[in-house]
Amino acid sequence: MPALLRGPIGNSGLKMATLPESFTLGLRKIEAHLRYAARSLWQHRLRALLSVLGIVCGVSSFVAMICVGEGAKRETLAQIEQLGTSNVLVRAAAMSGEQTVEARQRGSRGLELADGERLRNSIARVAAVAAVLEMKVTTIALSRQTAPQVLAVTPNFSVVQGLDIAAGRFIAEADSTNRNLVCVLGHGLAQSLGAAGRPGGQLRLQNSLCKVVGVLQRFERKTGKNSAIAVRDFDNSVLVPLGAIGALAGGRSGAVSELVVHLAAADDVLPTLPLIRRVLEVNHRGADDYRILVPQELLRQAQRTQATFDAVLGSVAAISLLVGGIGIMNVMLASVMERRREIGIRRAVGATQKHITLQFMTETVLLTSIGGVLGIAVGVLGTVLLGFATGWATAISAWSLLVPLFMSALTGLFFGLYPALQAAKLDPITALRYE
Amino acid sequence: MAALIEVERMAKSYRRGTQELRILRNLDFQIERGEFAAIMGASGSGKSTLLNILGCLDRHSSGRYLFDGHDMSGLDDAALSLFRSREVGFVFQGFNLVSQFSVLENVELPFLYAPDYCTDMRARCVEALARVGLSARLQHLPSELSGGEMQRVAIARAIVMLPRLILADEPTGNLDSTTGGQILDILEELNRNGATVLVVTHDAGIAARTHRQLRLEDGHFA
Repeated sequence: MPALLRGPIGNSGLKMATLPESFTLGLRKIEAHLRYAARSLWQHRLRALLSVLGIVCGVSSFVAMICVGEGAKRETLAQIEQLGTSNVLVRAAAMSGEQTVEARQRGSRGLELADGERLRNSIARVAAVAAVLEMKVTTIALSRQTAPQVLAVTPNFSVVQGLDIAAGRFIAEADSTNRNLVCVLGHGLAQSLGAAGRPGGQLRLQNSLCKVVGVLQRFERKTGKNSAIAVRDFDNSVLVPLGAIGALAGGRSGAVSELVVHLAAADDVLPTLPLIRRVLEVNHRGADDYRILVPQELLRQAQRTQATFDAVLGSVAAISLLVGGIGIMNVMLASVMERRREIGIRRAVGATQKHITLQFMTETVLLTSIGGVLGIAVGVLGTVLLGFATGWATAISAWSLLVPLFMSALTGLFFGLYPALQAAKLDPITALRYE
Repeated sequence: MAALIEVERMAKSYRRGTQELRILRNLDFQIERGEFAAIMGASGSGKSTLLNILGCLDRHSSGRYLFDGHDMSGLDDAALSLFRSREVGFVFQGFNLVSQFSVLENVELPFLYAPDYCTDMRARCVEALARVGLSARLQHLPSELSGGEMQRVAIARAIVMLPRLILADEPTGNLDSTTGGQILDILEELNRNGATVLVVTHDAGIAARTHRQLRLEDGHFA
C-alpha cells in the first residue's frame, strides 16, 4: 500500500480548466448540486411529501382559478361578440295592461321604428339602427320540436348583427319598400325543410306564401347557463322584411320589439350611451316602456362576478401557499438541525456560507417545485372534472400552468431563506462536533 | 524562505456569560515546510482549537498567524473558505464522512466548492483513493466500511486538492493500534512526498513517530 503514495503534494499539480471547459464543468457542478439536493429529499421522501401538501393545495387552487376564470371569460366574450360589442340594444319592455295605459297617457307610443330614425339622425356616432319585430305568426306544420321564430327585420339587420348568408341573399331594401313576401331562413331550419328550404322554395306564413330568397350561415348560439341576456337562436328563425306582412301579425304599424343601435366603433358605446338615453327619454316622454341593454356593460358585470370568484379562490390559494410555506420552513429547519454535521464537513472542505445557503435554498425550491408540479396535475384534473360536472367552460393555457409553478418556486425561495441562512450561520466547529 | 506557519502571540478566548474562557494564551511558534509534527496535551488543553485555527475553521482572538507569509487575520468567510479549499486537508477523529454519499462522492466534495475548475476531477479522486488503498471501494457507502477504511477515505478527501498542509485531529483515536498504525503510515508517506503534516494526539506512541512534538498545557506550550 505505501507504494501507492507517490506524486508531489501542492496545488500546482492540479490541471486547471480553460474558459470553455469551465463552462461545461460548471454545468456539471450544478448538476451534482441538484443531484445531491434531490437525494437528500428522497431520503426523507414521506416527510417531504407531507410537507409539500400545502403547496399542492395552493397551486391546484390557482390552476383551477385561472382555468375556470379564463373559460368563463372566453365564453362571456364570445357571447358579447355575438350580441355585438359596438351595439346597444333597445328592447320594448314587457308591460302589463295598466302600465301600457299609463304609458299611453303620457304620450308614448311604445318602441317604434321612428325611435331608431330619431337616434340615427340626432347622434353622429350612430352608424346604423336595425329593427326587429318578433311576430306571432303560425308557420306551416313542421316536424321540428321548437317552432321557428318569425322575425321581421330591416335590411341592415344582417350587417349590424353580423349574420352571414350561406345561399341566396339577405332581405333587400326593395323588399321592404315593395312589401315583398320573401323570407330568409336560418341554417338549421332550412335543412329540416329540405327542398322547400332552399332559395326558390316557398314557406307558408299565416295565410301568405313567402318565397325563400336566402339561407343564413350556421349560427352557433353562445349562451351560457348564467347569461344575463340570451342571444336569439337565428339558426331556427324565419326572417321577413319589416312591414311586408305586418298586417298579418295584427301589430300596430311601426311598432318594433327591438332596435339594434350600431355605433361606429366599440369605444363609442359608453360615451354615446347618455345621448341614447336622453333621446329615447324625450321621445317616450319619460314613459318607462323600453329597456336598454349594453353588451359591454354585461361584459363588465361578468368581469365583476369573475373578480369575486378570483378573490375567493385566490385567497384560498394564497392561504394554502402561506401555510404550505410555513410547513416547508418547519421541515427545512428540522433538516438543518439534523444535518449540522454534514454542514460542518462541507464547511471544512471549503464551502462558504453562500454555498451552504445555496444548498438549502436549492433543496427548498426543488421541494416546492415538486409540490408545484403535483399541484398543477391536481389542478388540471380538478378543472377537467369540474368542467365535466358543472358544464362550465374551462380553458387550460400555458400561462395558467406556468404562473402557479413560478409561484410555488417563489414560495420556496421565500420560506427557504430563513432555514438556509440558519444553516450558513452555524459555526463549523460546533457543527462538526454534533453527533 | 519563510516558515510555512508563523504564529506570534496568538490567543484565543471565548466569552461564556460574564466569564471569559482563555483557551490559548500567547503562543509563539513556527512550522517549517515539510515538517511532520505532533501537538500533544491533555484534553481541554486547547490543542484541537489550535488545529482549527491553523486550518482557518476557527479564528484566533489576538496575535498573528502567517501562512506562507500571508496574514490570515481579518479575512472574510469567502477568503477563509478558499484557504481551506486550496491549502488545507482535515482529518478528524470521527472520520466525518457524509453518510449518504458514496466513497467517491465524499472525495469529490472539495471540488464542488473549489472556485475554479479542475479538468481531471474524477481521475484525481480515483488516484487519491488509490493512494490510500481503496480502489476497490469507490461506490460503497461509508456505513459499509470499517473504521480504518473510513479514515482512509477521509485522508483521500483531505489530499485530493493536493493541499500543502494536512491537519489531523486524533486521526487514530477511534481505531485499534494496528489500523491506527496504518493510518500513520499513510500520513508519513504524504509527508515524505512534501506535505506538511500536523497531528493532534495524546498518544505518546504516535507522537514518537513524528519529527517534532509540541506540548500544550493549559493554553500554552510547556
